[in-house]
Amino acid sequence: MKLLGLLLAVVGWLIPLIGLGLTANTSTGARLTLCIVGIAISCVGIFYVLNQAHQKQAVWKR
Amino acid sequence: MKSSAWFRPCLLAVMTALLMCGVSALAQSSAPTPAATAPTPPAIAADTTLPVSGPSTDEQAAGDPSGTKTGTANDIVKADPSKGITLTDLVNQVGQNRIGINFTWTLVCGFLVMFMQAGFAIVETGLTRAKNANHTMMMNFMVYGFGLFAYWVCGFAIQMGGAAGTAMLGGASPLNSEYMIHFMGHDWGLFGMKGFFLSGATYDVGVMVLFLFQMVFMDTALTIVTGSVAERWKYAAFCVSSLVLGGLTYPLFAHWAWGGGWLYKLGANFGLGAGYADFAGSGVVHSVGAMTALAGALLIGPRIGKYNRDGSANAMPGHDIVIVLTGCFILAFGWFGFNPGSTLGASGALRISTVAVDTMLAGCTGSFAAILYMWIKYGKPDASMAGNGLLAGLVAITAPSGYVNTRDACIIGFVGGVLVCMSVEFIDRVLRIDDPVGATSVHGAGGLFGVLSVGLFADGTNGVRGLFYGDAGQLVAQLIGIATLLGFVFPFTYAVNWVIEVLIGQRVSAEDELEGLDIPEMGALCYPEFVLKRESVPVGIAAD
Repeated sequence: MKLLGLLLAVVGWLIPLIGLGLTANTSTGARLTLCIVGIAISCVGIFYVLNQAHQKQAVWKR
Repeated sequence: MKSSAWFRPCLLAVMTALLMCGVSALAQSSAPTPAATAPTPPAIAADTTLPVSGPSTDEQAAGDPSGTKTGTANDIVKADPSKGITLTDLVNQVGQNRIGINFTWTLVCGFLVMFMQAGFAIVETGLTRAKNANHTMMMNFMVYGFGLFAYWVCGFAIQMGGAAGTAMLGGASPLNSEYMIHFMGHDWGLFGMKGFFLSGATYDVGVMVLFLFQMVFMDTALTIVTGSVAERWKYAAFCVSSLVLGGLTYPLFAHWAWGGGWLYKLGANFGLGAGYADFAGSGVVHSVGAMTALAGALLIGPRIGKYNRDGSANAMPGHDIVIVLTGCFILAFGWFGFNPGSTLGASGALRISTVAVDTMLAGCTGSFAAILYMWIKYGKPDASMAGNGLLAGLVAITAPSGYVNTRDACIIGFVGGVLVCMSVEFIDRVLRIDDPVGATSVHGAGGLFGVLSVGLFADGTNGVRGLFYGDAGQLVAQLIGIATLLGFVFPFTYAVNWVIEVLIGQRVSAEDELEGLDIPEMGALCYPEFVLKRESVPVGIAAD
């Protein structure tokens, strides 16, 4: 789960990055959308998936 | 009759003269004037001696109470004193003065930023419990040394080794080597390769100024981490983690944004506004620190007693609100070096006044917003959140301070102040990540919003124009910066700290944590005459 969370975070970064090459110079809207999608995926990876994995072993649950 | 005989020719002559004058005047006003051929000044040779002199030795020996005999031609540095002042001497002196002003400005601002270490140290110590005060203070004290050492060895080279010239500091052109890859039709600068140990050609006056200023920025990022994992971080792990952050993680992102790397060139390569713009480091300094702080807090876990078995959170108030708020004042003072100093000069960068006022206003509205939020929601103006609101406003204005007007600075600071309150609650109660000083919220939420706000509020006055002023491309560049912080910096720094966890362990034992880290980790209490509250070891935890 921890690896999945990190992987999602990285994928969220790569989406707007690769999108720079795939979208034409004029399509700012497409780039903007890809950025927002990428950031959302990274946030899910870090704050939900990775955090959930850590919460399972949290000191207060023992 | 006689009189009329001579009168007529005279009248005719006068009229003719007037007519000629009129035609001449008309011709002068309507016809294109040939270019005035100003007399060519005599060519002055560069080694011409100028006919100027200052007060005599006798005049100066008499003293100068009015200041009119000090700072004269006598003070111009002459290449050949026997010849007097030449044109070359004069021009060189003007250049020296400009760079001298910029050196002085940048160095003094760097000294102010260095003093922020003291602010961070007492803010964090005040927000933790008395039994951990020595440990927290010592982390903040030594992070300066560890960070500085790692940055001198390799951090500066990675960050600025390919930054090329810095005109404000007289060139600094020895920094001219960058590792790049060619991808999607463009060159992507990844890291610098010159300036390790500040040796070779980087033994240069301009490079030294740049090093000092960038070093204190890097150290600011490092102090953020010590707050979020305070009261449970093993000191040895802190040492290693700080070395890696100062020598590798921070310089990598800083190179991309400030050292001529790929983020900086998003504008030139992909037509995205002016490229990623982060004037003084909401992203580079604060968000990088916050990403590491978040990774550390996740890996190390919450303090014993922070959460009950049902997941509800307990308040663990700090021990000294006086030093917390004093520290916030010190930080606000240091921020006048942080933001205005980022022009890297005063001569030729008079916007330092605007940057300073923006900084001041955003800090003010940030604390104002935090107080309002807490007062409305909880009925009392919370002191620690007022301090955090001030800091969040300052963090948020750090990136846009060079590009926005005062009205937008107020808005940015206010939003930053509200964001930090909401973020503290969210991280503490929903995510259940224990951050004793709210570092992730202040520097993460505030920092990322600061990066975003450049893409929204930049008014185009200084070459960067945001969405509200007509350039959506700049917003895209800023969002790519945010995506990089979340999707590269966080996983990278998490992986580094995970390796440290595996190799030497990050968390102290439960017994040590409950006793307080001053004796087990540092060997001495911060307040030896205090009677500290004893805590018992919960059964399940003691078994570990």
